[in-house]
Amino acid sequence: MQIIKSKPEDTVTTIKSETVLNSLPGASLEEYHSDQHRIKQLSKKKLNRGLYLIIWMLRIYVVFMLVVLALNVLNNMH
Amino acid sequence: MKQTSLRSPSREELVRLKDRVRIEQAHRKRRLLALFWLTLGPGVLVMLGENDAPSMLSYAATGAKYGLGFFLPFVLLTFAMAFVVQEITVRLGAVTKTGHAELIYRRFGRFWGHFSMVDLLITNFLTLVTEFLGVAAGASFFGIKPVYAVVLAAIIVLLTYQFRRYWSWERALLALAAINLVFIPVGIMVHPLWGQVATSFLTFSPLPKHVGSTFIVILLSDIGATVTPWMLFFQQAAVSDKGLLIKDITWGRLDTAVGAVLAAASGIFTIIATSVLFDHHITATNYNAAQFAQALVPYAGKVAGVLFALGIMEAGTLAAIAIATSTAYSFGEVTNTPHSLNASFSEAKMFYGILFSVVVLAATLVLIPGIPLIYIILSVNVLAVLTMPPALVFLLLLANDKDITGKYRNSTLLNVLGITVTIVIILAGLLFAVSSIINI
Repeated sequence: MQIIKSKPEDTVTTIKSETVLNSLPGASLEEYHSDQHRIKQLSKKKLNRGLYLIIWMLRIYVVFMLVVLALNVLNNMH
Repeated sequence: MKQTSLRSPSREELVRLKDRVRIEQAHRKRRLLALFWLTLGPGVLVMLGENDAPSMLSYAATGAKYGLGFFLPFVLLTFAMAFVVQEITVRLGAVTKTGHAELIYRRFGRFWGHFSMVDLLITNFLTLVTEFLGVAAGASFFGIKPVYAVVLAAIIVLLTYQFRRYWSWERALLALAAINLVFIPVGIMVHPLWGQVATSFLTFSPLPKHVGSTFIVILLSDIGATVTPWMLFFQQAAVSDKGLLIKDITWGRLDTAVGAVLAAASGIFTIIATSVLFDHHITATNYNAAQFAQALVPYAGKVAGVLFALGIMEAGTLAAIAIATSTAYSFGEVTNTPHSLNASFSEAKMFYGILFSVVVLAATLVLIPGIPLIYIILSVNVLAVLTMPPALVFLLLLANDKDITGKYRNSTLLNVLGITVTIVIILAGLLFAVSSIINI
């Protein structure tokens, strides 16, 4: 098994790393890494018509609420 | 011969792994109590964090205005709704090991990712201001000047980030969160009519005599505030930072359920406590924390007043920590910079920088004379309504995204519950926001 060290070695850190790795089932770390890697590989979701409509309704909602917020702030100032 | 490459874990990963060992051992030996204790955390913290200073004061005002009745079971209902929503974040966090903001960024693009982060940043910052105000109000019961109370609270908040280990930070927060339960003995000390309490839960009655606009506004406000955006971002990130895995999902659900029950109990007993003011026809509409605490003394004793004031101070402090942390998590997720409470200061400069900055700035703002804090308080609710619908809609979309959750995506029942809760919260929030404009 080849261990690729990603940073310049700190001997104490390396020994501690190997000790922890060797004392653990590797499954936990492997699951963690593989799931994070899987998520990082995700691209933007392809939207079908329904989702496209929902996203646009959200955009309209945001604009509407920004107006409401602005009115709220103006009202409070008066 | 097949060669396997294994990258050396970072300090952050090593710390997380060391805490993970105990959970793995508990799984292997089927030590259920140990598993419960070890996985307890994100759910309890988010639910008790939701019982922030303004929320506890809102419960107090409700009890003083309407007494025992409709709002007792209603609080339980709101936390049931909160559980439905927060349970999704447990699954998302455990399956993806990623925070909510990052998932939104990756699946729905830069606009929504940055929108989520910026909106959360602004809303959370203003909410932090209200939390420090709540702490100052509670501290005034003890004669502590606002400047000392706010500075002390800010120091406590910042000190919790010295651990650089998620587990230690979480345990310290759980100890702080336990103080939120002081409202339970306060409610018992007023010697309520328990028969009437039981009747309220069974029948959702009595309704207030005059169901007017104030009642409707309180109802809408409470439903709209059932789940606030920071809760979604906080719990998912905390589940991921804690290192919970797929096999821990059931325990994460239990953690969330326990949190919901405890928080609901705290809210319910606060209403029970101040219902004594309703019974004695005391008008407490604009009371602050210290005034509520003082008002309880003749009916429940000095200890009750002390506990109430302490509870408000704790509520503000705990919420400040959780809200600041959710801000920093989402910032790190969207900007793809290290963001973990297991990381050292040098490893996660931006993360800790954001944490320290929002806390210090919010505390400073509270102490600057002449700042129109009332506008901030009034705007926070409307801002939360702005942030909530996109956060909830994305939560449901992500929970049903096969590429993300795989076989752990929402079932039909969960979708029905989730969509119902989402629609109710969005509509209530919208109506509340619009009504606050119409009331001009």
